[in-house]
Amino acid sequence: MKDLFTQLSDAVFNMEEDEARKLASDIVMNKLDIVHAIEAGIVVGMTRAGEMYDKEEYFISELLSCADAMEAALSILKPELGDKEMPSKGRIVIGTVAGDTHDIGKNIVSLVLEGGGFSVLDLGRDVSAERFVNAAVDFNADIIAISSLMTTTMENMRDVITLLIEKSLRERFRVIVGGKPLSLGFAKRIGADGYSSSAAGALRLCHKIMSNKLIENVIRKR
Amino acid sequence: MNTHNQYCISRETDYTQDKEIRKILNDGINSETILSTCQLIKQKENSPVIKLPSDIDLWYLSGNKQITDIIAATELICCRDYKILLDCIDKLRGTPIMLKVNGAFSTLLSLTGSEFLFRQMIKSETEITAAINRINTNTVTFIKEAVLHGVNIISYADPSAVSEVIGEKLHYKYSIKATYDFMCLARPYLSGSIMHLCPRTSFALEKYMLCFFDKHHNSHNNLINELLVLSQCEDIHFTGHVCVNADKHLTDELYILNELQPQG
Repeated sequence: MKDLFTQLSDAVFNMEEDEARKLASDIVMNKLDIVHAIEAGIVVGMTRAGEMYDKEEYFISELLSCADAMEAALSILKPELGDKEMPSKGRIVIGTVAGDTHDIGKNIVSLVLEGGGFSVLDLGRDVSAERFVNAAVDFNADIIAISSLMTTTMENMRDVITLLIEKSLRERFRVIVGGKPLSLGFAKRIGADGYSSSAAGALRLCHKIMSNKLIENVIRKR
Repeated sequence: MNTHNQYCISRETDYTQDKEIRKILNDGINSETILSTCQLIKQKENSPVIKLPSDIDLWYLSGNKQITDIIAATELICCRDYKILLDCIDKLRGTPIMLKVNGAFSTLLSLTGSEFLFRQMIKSETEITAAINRINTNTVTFIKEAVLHGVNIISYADPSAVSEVIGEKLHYKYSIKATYDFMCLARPYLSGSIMHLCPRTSFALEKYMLCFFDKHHNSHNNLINELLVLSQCEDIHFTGHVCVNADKHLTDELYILNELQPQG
């Protein structure tokens, strides 16, 4: 018999909204560790869903249904956290670059990052460089994630990095970019810290950035 | 991620953002404003036909709001009055007309928004299937009238149904099979007209072996003019595999439906 955390992970992965809600209630009733339930149940389930999406075995409808199962479980678990904060692997502001109104891909990345345990502030689409930078400061973000679908707007990503430099904030935030016409070469040319071509890849990239950040902080303190 | 047939969508977006067109449509949706818009597009494209969009009134009817209820959206789509469009067709008597018709999935999505519909595609299969069937029946009823009023070409596409986004299984169920059902329903009413399928749809129909197309030499070297000629052939009802919106066609070929495979 699988433990409740694994069952919750399966329910999220299998898009079973009612089952996820029931398992979350069982976890609360059995007084199990809520933080662990979120990490070992929901985060693992959504990460698995993101990987299936990258393999083209799950598509947008499946991913949204997994997110609904995740929300159903969180609606039971979150109130039980009490004084404890929601476990977060890092803070991310995400948006589609200025001039670009395509947001489905960005929404999926946002969903996978949130499901993967990050705190995500989604700024929506057609986001100016000023809004990205101001939101990152206000949200105390670790990472700024920018998306673009069009070759005509991808160059606008550079403006965010330029503005960060102008405001002497470049060192504070890691900037990652993604979107259909982009490449690692383009990301390097505009001075971004990372690039991913997929949602699960973006999640792995953010994990890597946060691990590196942790190591840098430890070294700095020494 | 590309969620629509980007080429045609961006072309339509250009029109909806066109200052002259916006100025006309700001006066509301009536046969005069629709016709002025269509005439303007005809001039811009230097097209031999008037392209009449069959769903131009939908957003106005919904108050430009997304409707997050499948039944309510279906009601709005199926209960609207097609009088304005039929009036347009009557006023265009003598001018070749291409009626642009979207597939039921794209029509439904235009009202509900993609995120809502994508969410419901797995959870509410029965409701969506029923909605698509109802929209199909309703559209065929309109097409029957439109052909009687003088429409020559029906240009059919399902631009919001993209298999790379929704997956092949759901794409087949909600778009390709739905298109096949739509073709079966519409065929008896196409006399004196022709239905041209967007190549994304016609190739997919062939891929799933729901129908097959034969090569036909386009002697007019202009797809629309050729379609106008073919619309008068009693035994030809459907064409496909080339894009009616493309500025230039790379070949002088057109593809005519050979047969609709029996349902099974």
